[in-house]
Amino acid sequence: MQSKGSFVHSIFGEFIILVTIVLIPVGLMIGYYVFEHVNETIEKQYLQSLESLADEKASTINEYIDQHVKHVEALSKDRFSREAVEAFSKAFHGDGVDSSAYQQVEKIYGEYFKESFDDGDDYDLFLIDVEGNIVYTIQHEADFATSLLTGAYRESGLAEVFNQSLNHLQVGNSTFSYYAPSKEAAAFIAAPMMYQDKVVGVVALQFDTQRFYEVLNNYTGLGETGEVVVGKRMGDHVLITAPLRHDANAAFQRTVALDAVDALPIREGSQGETGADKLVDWRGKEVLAVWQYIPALEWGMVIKIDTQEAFAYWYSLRKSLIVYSILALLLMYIVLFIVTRRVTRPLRRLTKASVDIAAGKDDVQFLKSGGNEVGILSDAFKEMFEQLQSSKEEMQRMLESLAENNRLLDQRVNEQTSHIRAVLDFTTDGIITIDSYGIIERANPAVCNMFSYTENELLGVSFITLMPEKNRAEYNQILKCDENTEGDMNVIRELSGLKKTGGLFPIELRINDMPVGNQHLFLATIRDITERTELEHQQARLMEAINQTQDAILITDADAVIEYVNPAYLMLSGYSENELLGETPRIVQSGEMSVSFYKKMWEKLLSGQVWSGEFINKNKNGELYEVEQSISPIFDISENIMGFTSVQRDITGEKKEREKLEHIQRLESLGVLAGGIAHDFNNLLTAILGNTALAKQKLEHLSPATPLLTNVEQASERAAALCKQMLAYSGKGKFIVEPINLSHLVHEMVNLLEVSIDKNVVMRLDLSEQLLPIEADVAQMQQVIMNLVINASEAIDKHSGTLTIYTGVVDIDEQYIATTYVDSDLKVGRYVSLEVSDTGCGMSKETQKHLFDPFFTTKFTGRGLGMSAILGIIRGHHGGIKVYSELGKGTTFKILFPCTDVLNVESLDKENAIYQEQRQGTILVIDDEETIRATASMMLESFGFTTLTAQDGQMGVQVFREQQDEICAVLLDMTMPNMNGEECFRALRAIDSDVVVILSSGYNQQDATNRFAGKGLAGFIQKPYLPDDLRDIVFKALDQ
Amino acid sequence: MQKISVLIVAVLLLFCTWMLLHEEPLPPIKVGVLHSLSGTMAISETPVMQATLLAIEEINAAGGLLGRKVEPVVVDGKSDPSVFAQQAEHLIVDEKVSAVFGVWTSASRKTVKPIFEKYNNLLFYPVQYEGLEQSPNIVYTGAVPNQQIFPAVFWSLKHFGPRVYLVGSDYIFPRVANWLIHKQLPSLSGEVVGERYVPLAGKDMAAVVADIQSLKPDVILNTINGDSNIAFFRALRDSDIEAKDTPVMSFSIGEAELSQLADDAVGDYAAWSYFQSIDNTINKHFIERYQARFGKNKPVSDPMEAAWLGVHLWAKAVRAAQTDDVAIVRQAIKHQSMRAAEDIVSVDHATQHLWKTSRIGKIRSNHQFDILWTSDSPIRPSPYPATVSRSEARVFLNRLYKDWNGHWEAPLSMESGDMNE
Repeated sequence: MQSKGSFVHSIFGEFIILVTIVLIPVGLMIGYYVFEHVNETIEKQYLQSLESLADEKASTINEYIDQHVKHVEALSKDRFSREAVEAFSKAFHGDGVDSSAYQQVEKIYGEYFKESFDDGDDYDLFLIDVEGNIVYTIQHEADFATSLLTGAYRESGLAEVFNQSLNHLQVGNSTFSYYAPSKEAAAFIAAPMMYQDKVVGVVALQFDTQRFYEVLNNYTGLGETGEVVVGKRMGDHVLITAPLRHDANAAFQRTVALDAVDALPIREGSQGETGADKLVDWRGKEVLAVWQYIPALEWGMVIKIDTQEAFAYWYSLRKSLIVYSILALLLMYIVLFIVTRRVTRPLRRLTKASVDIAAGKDDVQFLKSGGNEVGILSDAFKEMFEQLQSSKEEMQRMLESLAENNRLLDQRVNEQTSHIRAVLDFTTDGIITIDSYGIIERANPAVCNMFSYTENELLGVSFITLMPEKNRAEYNQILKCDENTEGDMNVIRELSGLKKTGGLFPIELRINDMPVGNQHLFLATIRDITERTELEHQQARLMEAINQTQDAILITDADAVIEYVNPAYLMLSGYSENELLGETPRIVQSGEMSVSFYKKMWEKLLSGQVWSGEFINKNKNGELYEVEQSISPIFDISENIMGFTSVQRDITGEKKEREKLEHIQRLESLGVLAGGIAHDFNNLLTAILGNTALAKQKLEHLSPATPLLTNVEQASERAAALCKQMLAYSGKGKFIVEPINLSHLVHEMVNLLEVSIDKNVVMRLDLSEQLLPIEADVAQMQQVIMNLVINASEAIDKHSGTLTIYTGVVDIDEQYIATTYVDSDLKVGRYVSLEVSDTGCGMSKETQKHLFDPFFTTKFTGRGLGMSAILGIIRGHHGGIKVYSELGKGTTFKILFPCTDVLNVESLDKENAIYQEQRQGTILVIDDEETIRATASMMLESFGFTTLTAQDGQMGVQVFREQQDEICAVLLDMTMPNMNGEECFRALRAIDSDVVVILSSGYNQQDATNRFAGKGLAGFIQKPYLPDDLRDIVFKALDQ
Repeated sequence: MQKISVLIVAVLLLFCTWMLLHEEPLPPIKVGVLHSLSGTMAISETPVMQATLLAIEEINAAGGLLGRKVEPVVVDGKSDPSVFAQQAEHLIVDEKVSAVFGVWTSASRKTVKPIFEKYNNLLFYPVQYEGLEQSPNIVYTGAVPNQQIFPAVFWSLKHFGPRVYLVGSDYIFPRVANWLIHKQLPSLSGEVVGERYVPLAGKDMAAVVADIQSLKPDVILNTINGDSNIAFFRALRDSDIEAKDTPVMSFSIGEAELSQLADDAVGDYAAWSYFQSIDNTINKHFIERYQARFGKNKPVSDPMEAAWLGVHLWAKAVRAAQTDDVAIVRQAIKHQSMRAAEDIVSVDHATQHLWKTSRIGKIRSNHQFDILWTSDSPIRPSPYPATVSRSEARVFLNRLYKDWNGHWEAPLSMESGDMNE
């Protein structure tokens, strides 16, 4: 037999344990369940049959009593009985029961009663008269002839039923109680005898007690222990009223206390309850009992049987079942044991075979082939074993061949190793192997040379020793990355190396992950890149210079295909790098240069010489620009031209500036000259005129010389005027500077101007009433106006035309300044403009070019100093001039003078010097007319507002959207391009429904406001308007 | 394969668990509760219905019957005998009830009786009545004359004297009761000095009072029912007829009616099997449960107790029969008895009436009774008293029925008057 441990772990053992664990509890559970159920069912069924018995018993008793009831009722209604009681009573009350009269009566009636008397059921019969005297009995016991009301038996059951019958006129019965005359327990039943609604007597029967007990104690169906217990409740206890099977003397002897712990059935039953249960009876035995109440006797009745007897059959059956079950279990174990042994035997043999195989035995015994699963398993196992054996031999052969291969490999490895060592020794790159802690394991001679260490000094040292402090963190980082990425890591960094001597030099460090067996090594390849770094730095510097330089640089190949352009070139040409690369410089050819020019250039270049010269090129936008260019061929080692470098400098602006400067210088020198001449001339003319006047005084009035002197005088005065012009041109004309209003000035000059112009010229004045003053010399201003008007008139010549003089205010910016003729002194800001336009012949470009040159004239009579003088005056007043002219259409001269300070205006303008209310806030002025924007802004600023301007509706809306929080009102023009006043108004309302908008228009108010009716317009002002008008409207609109 | 095996085992386990845990709930045992919930009788019958429901609730609270709940189907007889008949048929035929508890007036009982007999169902009738009736399909849980009237008449004569005046409502119960009193009195040497009937709900008591004043009886035996009692006692007191001089023994005034009489009836007497003032544990608990369920200080009267114990007796019979099958329950009911609030009650196997205790109480000023007399033991029920034969009874009843034009109560137009025989 196997040991205990191996039994538990063998299939056989597990099988037995499993069966034990599973079957026994299951069997026990099922057994317990079945037993309980059967027990319960038997108990229930038994109780039910006992109930039936009890019902039957109760019915029997009731029927027994009913029979008596019927009997006594029949007797009571029987006429003969009635007569009998009357007769007996009479005899009784006559001479008594012993008298012959009574005997006579008894003879007549007694026989009848004795005959009808059922002595099987009844013991005695009584006739009682209404006074309670027992006048007749069959038995003639001691009660005979006694009174039930006053006699010895007035407390008896008989007396009770008598009273019931008499008083309640109904049948009454008593329960059993000891009755002395009969010397035993007795029960009675009585009925009244009625005659003509009156009771004449009572007839009563006494039950045959023994017969009753026989009926009661019929134990049919109650086995050997079954018992019927009857009892009557008497106060706090129950009196047993009939003999018991187990106690024949119990009747009227045995009692059960109502508060007793046992005998529950009789206690309950005697108190009117019904029930059934298993419990302990008065003997202390467990019984099955049912109980009922019998009202006629006021009895509780219990029918019971000992549980032992009731369950006897079941108990014996149960015993047999248990024994058979145990036997069946044992048998099952034996069968199980045999079967399991049989089933597991081949498995055991197979196990032994596998143990033998494991032990390396060659003579392994297997089962016979075939059979059940175990046999198949054994076959498979055997085959496997054989295959294993052949595999083993094959493996042996392979091992031998592998050993040979290894030897050859070792040899080759040795060769390779010495080869690699040689490579390592002679390579210029430093090679180091590092372990996972960063410790140098091996270093080749190149490393030692590079860092000035000996190999021994390096081995075992941390790799970071070779790095300056600042690089060590980075190096550690590299190693860490490397560890995390696990192989395939190829990090190349440019770092600094630290020599033993302390010197730093740039290195390129490459670290590769190098797993060798279980070891995690790193291979660091170090290259000294001092030279390369230097070269790179140089190159970078050069590149930076080229990129930063203002000169455009272009590099082409030998076929002039562009290979490189610097940013300056891109800016100059307007092309992008992509557009240029691959093209030739012909892309910027303007066609302004001749073919021979290019030919000469190429000849020089291809001969290997540098070419320099100026080019006119065309940028991407088609604009010409001028460059000063130097082209050099680039040679390769064999002196062949491999490309060209071109360095260009944009000289377009420079050239223009130069020309302008030259022109100004020329004009200035001319001015100086003219001034000098005029000054001297004026002196001379002063002398000439003075002398001429004196000479004329000396001559006689009619002297022929007088007209000649007058000619001299006139010529001199014209010369003086000419001098005056020249002085003006030189900017040195004397002038008294004061604030003047050009509009007022023009008004004052109207008459003078009108006489100065041709009759066919219509002069229109468009003069701003709210013009700002300028600081100017009145005379010179008059000269400017006069000159311009005369020039305009002359330009119109003989044709009819219009001449317009306009004054206004304009804000100018730098862009604007660039288009003015005199730009040296002009500053950004607000200017008063004076425009003189004509519809005359206009000027050619050429004329315009020389317009301001002194002594240049297109007139027959002019001296060519008018415009020069104007220019001089303007320059003297720090102003500017603009000319718009078109041949055949006309010319406009626009002259700008800087405004004087607003405060000065107020102090100056005495008429408007009344106190003006000041307001704050920002008002947006939207108007396409620049002058209106400027004038309105000026007026609004004078009221204290800040202003914003917009030149059309779209811009106005944009400005409003950006700064709507600041804007308190909008002054909106009606007629504008892009977005008119109406659309703009709607857009503004969409942004802010409460926007305050004041409309200004050249239309009349009726017309304009009709279009905005009901749309929430805050106010309207008609153009042209005065400041007071605007103030009133704006203030009113804001106050609303 | 393994998965399928696991699945099968799991399904089998689930099935077994379900079989063990899932007990198909047994259908409830339906019982009918048939009372007037509307009309003139509603005021009297509603508390009886409540007592019936209380008993059903008690049974259900104790786990029901045979593992089933008892489900009451309450229907309204609308104080109309014909409606009672319809509803009884509805309960038996449509609702398939196992028993019906209810009915009050004799008129209603007599109309439903043939229906219960036709369908062999079982009615538990909770009210004291005139007797002269017996049916295998009715269990009478109220008293019959020999359990109420006869002892009371005997007691009255013994305590107040032999000259008796009879007054009653003009319908079957008072007529039969007085007829039986007439039969009883000679044996007790008593005499009826006068007899008068008032219509149901009648209020005119002038003639009655005049009679009493002139006849000066030793005792008045009162079988007036309902509201008329208020007028009757008011009239007595108004005419200075006091209880101490001319006591009234009433057979239809219980605790419920006392509350309506103010103190007019204080000092007079009534006969019942049950008084609320009975002092025992069962009665105490019964009153507590009723009042907790239906209202504090609500009076509890004899018919209510009879209704309540009727339900419990039926439940005992069902338990004994182990079925709610009417035929078997009818057999089982014959052997049932119980300790009720009034004392032990037992079904008389011959008559299906109850053995009941008889009591006489004196009206106190708190609408309760002082119990003056209790029978020694429960009295055997005699629906046909010894004083009359069955044939006499049949003739008498037929004559009443005929006189009342086929009703069990006098038509309202009928004059009240003497009925001296």
